[in-house]
Amino acid sequence: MMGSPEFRRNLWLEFSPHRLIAMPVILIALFLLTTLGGHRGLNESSGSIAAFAFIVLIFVWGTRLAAEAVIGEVQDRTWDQQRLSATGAWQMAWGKLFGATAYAWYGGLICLGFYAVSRAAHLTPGAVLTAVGLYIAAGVFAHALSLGLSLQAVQRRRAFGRVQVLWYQVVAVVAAGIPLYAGLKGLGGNGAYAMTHWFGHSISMAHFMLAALAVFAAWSVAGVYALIRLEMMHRHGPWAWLGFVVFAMIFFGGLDYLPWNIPVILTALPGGLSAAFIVAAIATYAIAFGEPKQRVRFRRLAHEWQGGQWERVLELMPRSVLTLGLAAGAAMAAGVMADTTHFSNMAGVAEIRLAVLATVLFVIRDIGFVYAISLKHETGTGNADARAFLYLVVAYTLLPALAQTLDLTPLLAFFWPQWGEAALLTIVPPLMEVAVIGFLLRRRLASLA
Amino acid sequence: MTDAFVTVEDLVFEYPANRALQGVGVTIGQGAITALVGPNGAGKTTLMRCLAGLQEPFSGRIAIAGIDVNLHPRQTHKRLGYLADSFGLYEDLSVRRCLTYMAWVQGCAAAETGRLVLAAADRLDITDRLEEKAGALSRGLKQRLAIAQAIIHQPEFLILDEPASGLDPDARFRLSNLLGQLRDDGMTLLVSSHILSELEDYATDLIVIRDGRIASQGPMTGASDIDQGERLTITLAAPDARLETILSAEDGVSAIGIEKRTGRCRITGGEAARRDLLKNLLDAGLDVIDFHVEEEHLRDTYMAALGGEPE
Repeated sequence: MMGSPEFRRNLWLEFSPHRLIAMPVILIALFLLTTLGGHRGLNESSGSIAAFAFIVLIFVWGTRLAAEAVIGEVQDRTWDQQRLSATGAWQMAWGKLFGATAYAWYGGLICLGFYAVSRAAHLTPGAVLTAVGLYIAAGVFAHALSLGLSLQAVQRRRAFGRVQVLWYQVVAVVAAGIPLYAGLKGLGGNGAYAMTHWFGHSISMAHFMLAALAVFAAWSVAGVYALIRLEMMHRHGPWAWLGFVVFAMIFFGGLDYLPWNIPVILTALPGGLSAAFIVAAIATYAIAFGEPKQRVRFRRLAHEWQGGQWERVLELMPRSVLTLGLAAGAAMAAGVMADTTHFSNMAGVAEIRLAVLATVLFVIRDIGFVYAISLKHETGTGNADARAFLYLVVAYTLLPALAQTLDLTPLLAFFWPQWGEAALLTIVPPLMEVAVIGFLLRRRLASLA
Repeated sequence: MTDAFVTVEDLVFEYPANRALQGVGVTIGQGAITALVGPNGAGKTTLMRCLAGLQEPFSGRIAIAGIDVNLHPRQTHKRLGYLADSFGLYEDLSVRRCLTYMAWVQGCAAAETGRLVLAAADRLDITDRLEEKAGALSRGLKQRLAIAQAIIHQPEFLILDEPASGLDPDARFRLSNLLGQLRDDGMTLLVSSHILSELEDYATDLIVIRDGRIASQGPMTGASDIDQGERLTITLAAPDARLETILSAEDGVSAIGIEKRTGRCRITGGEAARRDLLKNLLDAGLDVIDFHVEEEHLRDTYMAALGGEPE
């Protein structure tokens, strides 16, 4: 563990003798207050207080420390030294992930110890261990995600404010908090576990969420490693990202969505493939807004393309374009495998397949639009992304609402994929929009030459 | 020039709004101290960052000790030390810990770390500050600590962007000596600075860059690309219009400038040409009271290369 210089540097900074003593003193005082006051002893509420303290330390404070691990270096102008050092990307990745958050974990683990002792009287040892595992896995996942998001942002900008850091924290806490909550909720007293289904297998919710958190934490750590490699000027293909998206498609494709209130027409589509499409589409939007989109990058891409340097082309190719391919593939497969017995005639099957195609066209339109806006502006891709995001929100909310208010419902097909409508109305509007965006993009790409 | 240690070929670097380097080609000899000079915004820092493998150029090739920086940046990172113009320090760490950390991240052997820390501190004369926090140091001492960090692993190639900035005259003198010592130890150095007179003290080679293009490069002494002859100054007892006429008629004389009773020009042809010119001036009856060749300074080379005033 001490093999990483970065980890050791963080320990120097985080663990002064004063801080080493302060954390346990404060936490023990808090726990004594909750257990001795009114002679309550160790019970469920003392465990809840320990869990609350853990959440504050690890999720509120720890995610901030993780997000600032690299951003702080960039702002203090020490990041270039680290990029130039002989330290390997892996040593740097875990040194930052666990070093920057070491003090938060110091307090967090004390909290978990108290939590385990408090809950031991009411839960089986296995359930206590599972709960502790859920908290730790969720913490590592949240920290790795927060650090990963900040590293992704460092590729696009070198100046950060509190709002950006808060945004990475919120995303990380929500992403880790949902499975943590589901896992803890599935922990019954005395060994009674709630069950869930994954690809037809019945698994206890708590253990499933523990495994899911552990696997997503591992993917996030791999993401941090890949992004630090990029910062250290290693060349990096899209395979790690695409591997993660495929994994997420399979993972979410295997979940049981039956309790969800899904419109009848959608039940004709295979649930797993539909979920896989939604996951890939979300990943496409996320990476489209998150990846660097400087004009120079496109000029370089064109340069490598003309030179036939295909490996380089793949490295420089926007990840959103490649992810879009996965989303389109899942959507097409879902359309092809639609349950025809749902419909009394072939027209119904055709309608749903065209609706699937229209949905994919909307995703293509949106991603093209994000790039068209970015390429229009010389600098400030962050501002261009914010502008594109705003326009898309308007296109999906205000404009269709206006069309409906003015009783111009045929226009809705320009703003939302239409399901169960006539073929012409379903497919032609998004096709026209894709053509316009394609024309714009072509012009802007040509202007880069 | 000795064997090429760094070779840059047709380097192009683009920022979103402009092309910072436009087909730069330079060679840096092994064991040389090369001064990189040019106006603000000329592309010095961009070139240095490309050489350090911190930024990927649009096109072109950089080789350090035969290793392609763009293809194998990590291999070159191990061989070089880099001090940025705008550097940062871990201000909450002591000087000793800053240096120890840099030795660790540069992969120095654990058993050697203590010795390397002391050696670097000694070279930069900060041994008495080892237990002070970096944040508590003055600007000049911080600069010295940053240089110590850059050389602690004894790199083969050292890139220093404005290393004298913030140093007092005494520290600048020590820096000049240090750079000479590092070269004697076998290091190759590239140093950018706006203080041309100091570069003259230690630089062996010069690269002048302007608008992203190399304006001039070569050894410091008599090696400018712009070999326009020696700079000659002639002073008369009183202004005389015939001075310009005679200079203009003389073969090998160029860049003539007359200011009151003083004439300046460049003259090729060595001693014989100077003797002939002086004879012609005296034969014409001009009352010459001073006739001398001015020593060529870096400032002159720089100005000639840029065709204007230095920054």
